[in-house]
Amino acid sequence: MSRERKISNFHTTAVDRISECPDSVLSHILSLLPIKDAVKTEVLSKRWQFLFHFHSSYPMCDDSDEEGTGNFVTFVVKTLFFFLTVPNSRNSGLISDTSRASLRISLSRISGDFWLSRGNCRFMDLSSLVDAVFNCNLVCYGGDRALENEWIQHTVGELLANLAHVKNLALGTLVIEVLAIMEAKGLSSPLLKCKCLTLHTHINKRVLLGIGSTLKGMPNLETLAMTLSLSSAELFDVELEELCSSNEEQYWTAQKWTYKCLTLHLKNVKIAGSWWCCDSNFLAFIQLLLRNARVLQKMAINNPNDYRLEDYFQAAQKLLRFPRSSPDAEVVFCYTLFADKTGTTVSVQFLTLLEDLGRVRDYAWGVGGLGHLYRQLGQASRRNCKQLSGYTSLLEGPSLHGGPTTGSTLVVALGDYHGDHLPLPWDVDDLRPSQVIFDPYTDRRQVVADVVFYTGCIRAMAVLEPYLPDRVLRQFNMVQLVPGPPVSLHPVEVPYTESAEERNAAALAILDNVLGGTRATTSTCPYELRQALVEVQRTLRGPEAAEVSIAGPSSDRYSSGYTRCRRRDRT
Amino acid sequence: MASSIENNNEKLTLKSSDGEEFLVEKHVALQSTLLQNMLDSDCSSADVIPLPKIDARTLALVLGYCKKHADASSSKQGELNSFDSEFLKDMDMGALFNLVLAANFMEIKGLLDIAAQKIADTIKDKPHQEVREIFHVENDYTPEEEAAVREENRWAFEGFP
Repeated sequence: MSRERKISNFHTTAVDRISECPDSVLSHILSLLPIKDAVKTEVLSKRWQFLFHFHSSYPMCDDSDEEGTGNFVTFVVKTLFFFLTVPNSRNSGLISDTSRASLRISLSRISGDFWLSRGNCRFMDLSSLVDAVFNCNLVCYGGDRALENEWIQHTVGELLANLAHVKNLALGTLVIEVLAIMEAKGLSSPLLKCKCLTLHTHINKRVLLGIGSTLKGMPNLETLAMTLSLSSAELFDVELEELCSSNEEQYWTAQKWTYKCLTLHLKNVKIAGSWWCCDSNFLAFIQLLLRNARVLQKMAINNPNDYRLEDYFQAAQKLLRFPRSSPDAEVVFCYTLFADKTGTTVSVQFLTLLEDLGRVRDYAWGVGGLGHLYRQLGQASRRNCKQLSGYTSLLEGPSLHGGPTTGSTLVVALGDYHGDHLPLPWDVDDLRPSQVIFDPYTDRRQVVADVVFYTGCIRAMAVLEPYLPDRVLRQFNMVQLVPGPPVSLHPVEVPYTESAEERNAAALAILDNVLGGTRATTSTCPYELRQALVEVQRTLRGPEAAEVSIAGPSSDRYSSGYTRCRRRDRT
Repeated sequence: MASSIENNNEKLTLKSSDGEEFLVEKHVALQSTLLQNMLDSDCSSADVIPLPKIDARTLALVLGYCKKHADASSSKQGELNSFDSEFLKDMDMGALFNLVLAANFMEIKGLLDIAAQKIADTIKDKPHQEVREIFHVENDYTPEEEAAVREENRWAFEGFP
């Protein structure tokens, strides 16, 4: 074997050796470079213009409007798109990249030139994908709009057909609109094996066709999640206006097609979203689902933010009257209890309540709700505070008391009731407030009077709020007596500390003061509350002082609750 | 042929593009995925395997690399690393590209990696004009086109003229 090692006699000519290398070699070299250096090679010559797209380590990032990252995002998106549309699988590195378990296709801000320049492209094999998010939010500028739209439609359709094996698929508004256009033109959606579909869209007449087409194309669908929003791509305005018929409300009822996924597989429906409304389109869609889904087990509908609760409940009532073809279907309306001002977040302290779900029904939710509401009222009365959280309709309750009772009236008697359906067979919507006598708990009126005119503090977990109807008895058409002295919740000033011992000592000081008997609090303090406070006092004292010793952690919870409540009140 | 695969001492004959023949031991040749596939699939029933894309000098270098890596066991990783870095030192660009192409053709991953790394190091942190000069890349963009391409990915060119 020749072992000649002389290399010096290779003479260097001015031949462009590097550009002669095959793409796979060049992309291999580029993949060893930092992304910035790799991108810079695009200006070397035309040969290099698209090579850097093979770079395997480009970072993924969400699209954002910030000026600085905008360009970079466009770059990443283009690269990703190029990478999906390369004519064949030359580079093994690329294939391993696409066969990752999940893929996010988020196309945005793509200039018209780029789209057109790509022309017709074939997609790579995406058959090994399991999850895919296909959420186009395109803003195209420049170029021939009609041609561009046609190309987008073509591309989206093609790409969707390539996602046939994906199990979990998420589709954005634009994709659904494209499907709507295809449907209107008589082209059905490609057949997908998807089992869990998430739609990020809104429901209006522009997308109805698209959603219908999607459902037709997914015979195996088991879970349908909808994240509703008002966003719209506004790309196919013209086409959709032309194509979609105006009777959108009748769209679903006029459907003769039976959806295979509805009759055979669909078990779960989840509806959520930051802003949406229960309009006729939405209701018609839900009606279709309930009427046709034969194996539906659960439909959960979340309360939209910033949406009037009354409207939500009205929609809920309508919705519960829809016929259901599945005997096991259960419709759940979700609403956040004890939420703070964001409307969606809840204090973590309530988590302990859910440890044993069997007991949840037995909790005194009424007291909890009232205590929470009073706490929120107290906070809302502070300076610079502009919002009130909680179910404020509860505060309006007493105003129903004094309404006239003539004419045809409805006596609303509320008692213990469990179940999905509201116990009102007639249409409550048509009633005027004057026709309603709010007369709750008639069978337990005596107890209710005791409860309503109880004076003192309402306590629900860490919330301890004064409740003093004896000071406003005239508002309840009762004789106003001289009220007792105000409840003082601030007997001692205690700074908040991290140490459990100090907190316990502080809480103990408060309790001693409250239960000491010298303050007015104790006179108005009901027996049960007093007993509870004594119990806490005993726990905090520890085993040597108390006859009954209770485990440590609970005492810590009580005391921290008390001190935290104190601290909030001072701010 | 099956028996010959088991026999490590068997020799193969490789023929370069300029007609020179190289006699190599089988375990050295197995460093190349291409040759390995050929042997596995019995394509090499002919006595001489022609490698029409590789000239004699390059083939000699490649086989030197293969021999070193085939002979050294995996325990001598440090020694191999120093051999690799020595191997490409002072090599001019023409030879380097011949080597890359040969490694790519013969599918010798280790050699391809180190050679590509060397080229990448050359490109790294240099303005594109200089890269063009080093590799004699002819600029076929018109000035307008070049400006447009640069503008498209402006972020990458920050700090470069």
